[in-house]
Amino acid sequence: MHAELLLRGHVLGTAPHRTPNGLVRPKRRRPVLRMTVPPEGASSVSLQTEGSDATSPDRLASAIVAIAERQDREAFTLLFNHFAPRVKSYLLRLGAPPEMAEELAQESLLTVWRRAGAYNPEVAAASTWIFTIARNLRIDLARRAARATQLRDPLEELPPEAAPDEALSAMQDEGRIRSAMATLPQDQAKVISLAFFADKPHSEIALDLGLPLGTVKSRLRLAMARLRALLDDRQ
Amino acid sequence: MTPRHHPSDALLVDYATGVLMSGQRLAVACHLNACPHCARTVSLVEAVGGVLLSDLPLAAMNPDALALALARIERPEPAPAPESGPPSDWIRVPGEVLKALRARGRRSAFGAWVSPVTKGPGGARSYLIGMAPGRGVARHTHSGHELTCVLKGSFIDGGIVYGPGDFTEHDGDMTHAPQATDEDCVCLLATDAPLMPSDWVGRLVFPLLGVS
Repeated sequence: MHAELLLRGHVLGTAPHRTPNGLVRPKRRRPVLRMTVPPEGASSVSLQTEGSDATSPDRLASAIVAIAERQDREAFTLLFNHFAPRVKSYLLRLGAPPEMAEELAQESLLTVWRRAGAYNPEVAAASTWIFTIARNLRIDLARRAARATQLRDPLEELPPEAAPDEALSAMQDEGRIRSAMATLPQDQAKVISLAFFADKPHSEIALDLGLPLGTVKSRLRLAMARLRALLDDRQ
Repeated sequence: MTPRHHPSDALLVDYATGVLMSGQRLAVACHLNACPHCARTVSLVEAVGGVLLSDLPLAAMNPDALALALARIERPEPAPAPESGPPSDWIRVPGEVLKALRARGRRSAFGAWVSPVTKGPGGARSYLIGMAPGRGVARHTHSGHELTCVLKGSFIDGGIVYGPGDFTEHDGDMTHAPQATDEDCVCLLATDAPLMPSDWVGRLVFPLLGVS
């Protein structure tokens, strides 16, 4: 199971830089060595630097801002090359046929172009924003398949933006999110990753894992409590 | 005022990952508009989603995908028209819910009215339900899962008062009869199985209101 491997990858890849409360906080500006677990079947573990290359979280966020400010096509190309293959991968994993995954990946990146002005880099990482766009387009497609309706604004249901005083929270810092995820016990990490990639409500995930629903719910609750404690600076 | 009754973490995770569909999704979305606390939990799960997305192995796009995208962004696309806002005494709600409010018929029975919002696969439905002060929804039971978000006013159920943005989650085999307090109350109610009236008033009233 890929997603699980990826979560384990976070455990491997954590640069141990612990604060007194056990929080792992990689420094933002300094390039951090990150280890990624290769797809199943690949033989080597690759080392990549984060923070120094063209697709660091900061650069990706600035690219969306550049589109909003000056319709920057180079920034769009960067985002497209980085995210379209990942969004397609996400949709394939959720069982979309290849042509549909391709089209939704296209549509997701077009939405990034059209709605770049709605993106706030202080509230969400580029990857978070694009994840929500892809997720909403997929939900919308499923709905339209069920009954013909017009295309909805993929950003419509997003909750209101955080107020400025909450802005510089950990939630737009991919490094901190990775580190927090790496601290989750494996059984909790597994229900979280299944929640994203199994396309099943937690009740069916429980059936698949052969666990009582209460166990899955309590693992989700424990995982969320831990992530909140590590990442929500307002708690 | 911040809501005091919230969806479970499990439900918020289902919302953030995109598993929750149509009516149930709308009910949670309404609550999130009124509840910064749950909105932050959802943002947190979405941030995890962003990291998982970043770490996925790449799926090759068609060779001409970028060229196609660059051609498509040249064509100006009108931004979606801003929806008119909800009435001032409502919490913020998605456009679909307002549409159901505008489409609401004048039919009401025993101080209650119902306007369908979404119709999903199987018996999944969502409705706007309005109750006049002191009036309620006939006693009913459900075989499935019922989510409710208060959009305006407040109701009382089992001795607990639920106000704007408050959220309830009931599993099957539960019989109840929510009742508005001393002000008008409007709720979004999402079920994955039809509501079943459990007494003669309900059997009389539900068909009248178009609950199906």
